[in-house]
This record gives sequence, C-alpha cells and structure tokens, in this order.
Amino acid sequence: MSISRIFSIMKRELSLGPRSPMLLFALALPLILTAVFQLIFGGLWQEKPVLAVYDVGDGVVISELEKNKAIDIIDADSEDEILNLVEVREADVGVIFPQDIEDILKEGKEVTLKTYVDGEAYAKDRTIIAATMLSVLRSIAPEGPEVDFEQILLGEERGLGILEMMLPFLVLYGVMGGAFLGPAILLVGAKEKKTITALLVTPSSKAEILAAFGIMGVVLAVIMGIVVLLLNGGWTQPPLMIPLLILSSIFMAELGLIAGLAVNDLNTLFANMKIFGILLVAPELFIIFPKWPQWIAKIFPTYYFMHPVLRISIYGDGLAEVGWELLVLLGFIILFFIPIPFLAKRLGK
Amino acid sequence: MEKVILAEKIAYSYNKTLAVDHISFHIDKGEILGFLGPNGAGKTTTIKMLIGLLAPQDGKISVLGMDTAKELNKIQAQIGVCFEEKNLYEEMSAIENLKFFASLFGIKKIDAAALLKKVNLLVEKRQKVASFSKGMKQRLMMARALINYPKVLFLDEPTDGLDPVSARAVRDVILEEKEKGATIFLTTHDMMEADKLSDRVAFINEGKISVIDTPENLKHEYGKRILKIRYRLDGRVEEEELSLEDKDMSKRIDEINSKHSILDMHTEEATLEDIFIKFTGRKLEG
Ligand SMILES: Nc1ncnc2c1ncn2[C@@H]1O[C@H](COP(=O)(O)OP(=O)(O)OP(=O)(O)O)[C@@H](O)[C@H]1O
Ligand SMILES: [Mg+2]
Repeated sequence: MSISRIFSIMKRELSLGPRSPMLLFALALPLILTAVFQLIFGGLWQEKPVLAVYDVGDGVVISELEKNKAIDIIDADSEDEILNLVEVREADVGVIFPQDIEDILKEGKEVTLKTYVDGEAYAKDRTIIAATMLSVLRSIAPEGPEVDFEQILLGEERGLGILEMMLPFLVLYGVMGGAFLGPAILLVGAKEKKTITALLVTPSSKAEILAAFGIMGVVLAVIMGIVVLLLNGGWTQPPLMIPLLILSSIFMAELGLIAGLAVNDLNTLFANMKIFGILLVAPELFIIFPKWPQWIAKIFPTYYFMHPVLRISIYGDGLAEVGWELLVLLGFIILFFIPIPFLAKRLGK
Repeated sequence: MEKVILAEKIAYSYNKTLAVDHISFHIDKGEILGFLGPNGAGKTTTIKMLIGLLAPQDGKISVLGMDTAKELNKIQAQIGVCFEEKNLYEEMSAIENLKFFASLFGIKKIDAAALLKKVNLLVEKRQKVASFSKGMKQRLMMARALINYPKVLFLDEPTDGLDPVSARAVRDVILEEKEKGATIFLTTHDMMEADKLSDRVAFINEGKISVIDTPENLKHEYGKRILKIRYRLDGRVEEEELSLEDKDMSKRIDEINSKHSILDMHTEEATLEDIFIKFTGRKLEG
C-alpha cells in the first residue's frame, strides 16, 4: 500500500470527479430538500425554545439561566402564570424552582422540579431546555445535582415534528450521495471510459485504487453529513456525531464500491439504484409511522445509522444509549467488506 | 541473451471463444517483436495477459525475470503500455495527464515538455484531451507509455489510424526507445510497419502463432523472388515472370532480348503479406 498513490488518485477524483452531473445532482438533492422542507414546514430551528420560570426563592437560578444563549427565558410570578404561558403556547416548558433550591443543591440533596410541558413542543426543544437547565444547575452544585423532573403534560402529545422526522432521512441522503454514489459513479465512469485499465497497469494495486475511491467517498459523505446536520439544526453533539458519520460513510462507501465493481455501465447502475435506494431509506418509514412494529426497521442496516442520528440530535442521547448501535454498524462494515476482494478480481477485464 | 519476456503455453478464452490458444514465445533484451495478425486474432488478449490485466488461464508468463502472477506491481513499475483503446483523462490537459500518471509511478519531477515534444504535442500541452483528434490522443498515449523510463514497452497498434506524418513520429519514438535498449512488444496488422520496425515477427491467427522469424528469413525461405520483364511483341506489350532461382533465367532473357525489344524489367520481393497468406490462408486486412 502506498499512501502517496492513494492520495494522488483521490485528489484527482475529488477535484475532477464531482463534475459528473449525476453526482452533483445527488449531492445537491439533500440541500434542496432541506430548503423545501424549511420553506413548507417553517423554520423550526430558527426560533429558540422558550422556558417559563417561576423562581420562588431569591432568583439566583433564574439569573444564571438568563446568561445562556440556547433558550429564551420568561420570568413568571406564579405557578398560574406558568400554566397559562404553556397552555397558550408562549412557552414550550414551564418550571418552578422551590424556595431554597440553591441550598438543597449545594448540600447534595435530591430536588424535584415541577415542570409543565406543551405536548406540541418539539422533542428537540424539550431536549435543549432540559440540557440547559441541567448545565445551569450543575454550575451551582458542581458535585452533580440530584434533580428529578416531575412532568405535567398539557395538551395532546404530538410526537415528532415533520422536520425532526425528516432529519435522519436528509442526513442519510447526504451520506449516500457522497459515499455510495461518489465511488459507484466514478468507478463505473472509469470503467466506461477505460481509464481504469490505465490505472491498473501502473504500480498501483487494485487495493490502492479501490481505497482511493472509497476514502474519497467517505470524505465527501462526512462533509455532506455535517452540512445537512448544520442546516437542519441537528449538529448538537459533534464528538458523538463525527464517529457516527464516519462509520456510516464507510459502510455506504463499501456499498458504493460493491455496486461500482458489480455494474459495468451507468445506466444499469441508475436502474438498480432505485430498488437499492428504497431498501436503504426504508427505516425512515418506521420513524414517520411509530405505530408500525419497530423491530422490522432493525433488519435494515441503515437503521443503525438513522436511529442514532435521531436519538443524538433530537433527544440528546449519549454514547451510553447509542453505543451498541454504533457497534452493530461496525459489524455491518466488517460483513460488507467480505465480497469486495472477490468482485475486485473482475476489475480490468 | 536475456529473455526479457517469456510466455509459455499461455491461453485465454472469453466464455466460449478461445482467444489465445496455448502460445509460446520469447523476446530478447533490446529486441522488437512484431505481433502480426488480422482482426480478432488474439493480439490484444495476448498483450493484456503480458501486462497483467488478464491472468492467463493456462501457462506462465515472466517479464524481466519476474512472474506476472506473483510480482505484478514490481513488473508494472518498469513497463510502459500504449493501449489500443484510448484511455486518457479527457477532462485533463495533456500535461496534467502525464503528471498524474507520473505521480502513480512515484516520479515527482518529469520533463513533460520533452516527452510532448517527441510526439509533436508541445503546442497543445495545456489543451484538454477531450478537444484532441484521434491521432493526437494516440500520440499522447505513446508519450504516457514512456513516463517511467520503461525497460519494456507494450504497444498495441500504436500507429493505427494515424496520418503518415504522425505515424512516422510514433515509429521514430519506437526506434529511439529500442536504441536506448528497451525491449518492445508491438502488435500491428500493418505488414509494412512490422517489416520496418521488427527484429522478428510472429504471425498470429485464430489464437495460434504459425511462425516466428526475422522478416528477412521469412522472405528468403517462403517468398519467391521474381523478375518481371515486359517486351513488345507484334505491337502488343507482353509480360513474363521469371524466378530468380531458376538456372535457365539468363538464357531466357537473352532469348527475349534477341527477338523482341525489352521495355523494362525489375525484380520483385515477396511481401510479408504474401507469406502471411501462405501460412494462414487469410489476409491481414479486410
Ligand atoms: N471482452 C471480450 N469478451 C468476449 N470476447 C472477446 C472479448 N475481447 C475479445 N474477444 C474475442 O477474442 C478474440 C480475440 O480478440 P482480440 O481483441 O485479442 O483480437 P485482436 O487481435 O487484438 O484484434 P484487433 O486487430 O481487432 O484488435 C476475438 O474473437 C474477440 O471477438
Ligand atoms: Mg486488438
């Protein structure tokens, strides 16, 4: 393996390859869809979540809360006012801080906070509010506050908003455009134009050539994933999201190489893409229809990418919750590597 | 003599077509072997096996003393290939193509201008290959084959479809490389070219080699040299062919000369084409 040869091939494909109109379209599609969804369903992510606070005590917590930039705070004077603000949907969540909360927290005792939650508030807004409250309380009691939330739901629980539901789909599309279509289109293109045979008679091995196409796809896909998450407000936990994006891009790049090796012309590739694309996107249906039996979604490999995206960016889950899904993804990466060397034998014939 | 290329009973078939049928040959260091055969004879398939694009289904190949099945990438570092099908990067310029391929050989500094000058493409060096004519692409492919100072060249019909000037430029490059000590495997169905360039020629037809020898030996052994005489007889022009090997030839010339007035006479050598037909019962072209 020569890193410099892999880099040479990758650089060439990255600088000239994405000029392919099909690939450009595939990369633009998730961005166009983002814009369309935002226009139709409103700029979900532009408005900050709103928390109404009734601080019975001396207002230390509320003044700390007001320093944050993630949420807007309404200072209420009574529990009734809180209830009203949430009912008329001026606030997503209302919270009551008891009289001596500061002392209780500092003593390390458990405190229960009464919250009113608007059933129609976005899951993501609720997550941001809870996370902000916890971080503020932590600044008061650094040893770790013992907080329990007593939730009172007002109105109908409506589940995920359309833009929230679409987030995993859009991110998948971005990753698919880069990591699947990138290597597949460029590899099949190189076969159609015969340039692959010119590469194969240089000292570059098939492994190096395929690695270059694959890595190029991963780079494109991670960039696409980050852009789509940023545009849709889902870029909340980069330290966890980056490994997830890398793993899913590697998996997609393997599928892209398999398709690129198996197929000899672009028409066949696109014809098969449709069936293949539906299989990849299938888990999205189970996010849109939560009443469907969810175990079926778990059959599809892309579930282990789409579900963690949802959990991490909408519900604020951490490694403890999604770690096992990343491991399953790793398993799929190992499994789908197996056919590649066999298919590679046909390359150049 | 060092055998730079050695093929032993190599065979390859696509599905049902046996394209190359257990052929054996060798090429010595610094030698040009012309592989001469009609369309579909198996020339390209043979080259693809020699350069490692196809693995022979039977037999063995060694290039520069290394087995193609084992040390392919090491061999490929020292060979140059000019393909039958154009496979340049069309969206890049001539110079970018050369630099990119040089980088794959680990060559950082190349004198691309000198290479392009050799094939008369210096003026067009920054033009996109997509705008090149067929002949220009062919010449650029030839330049690319030389990018790594190859010890062995594999040229698959390198002058096919070129105008006489371009073809001449390419032939000059081939001879120059031979001069420098390169060993060259050249396929063609142009018998004049094979005759001019090759130290030895191999006739291939339907996947089999029928003979390998120097063009001179082939012509000497298999071609009859003749003398053609035209003379005037009763106002008409008569033509007569005499074999140069015939002992009574000069007697017959004297006889004609005494009775008629000779218009002209010249000797004719058999061409490789004639000999090819003799061996294979088939023409090279058409
Ligand atoms: N990819 C392929 N699939 C199936 N058959 C093939 C393939 N390539 C070549 N053949 C067949 O193998 C035989 C030899 O072909 P090859 O290309 O080696 O001939 P060639 O001597 O190079 O001919 P040409 O002068 O036309 O270039 C022919 O009968 C051809 O039809
Ligand atoms: Mg050929």
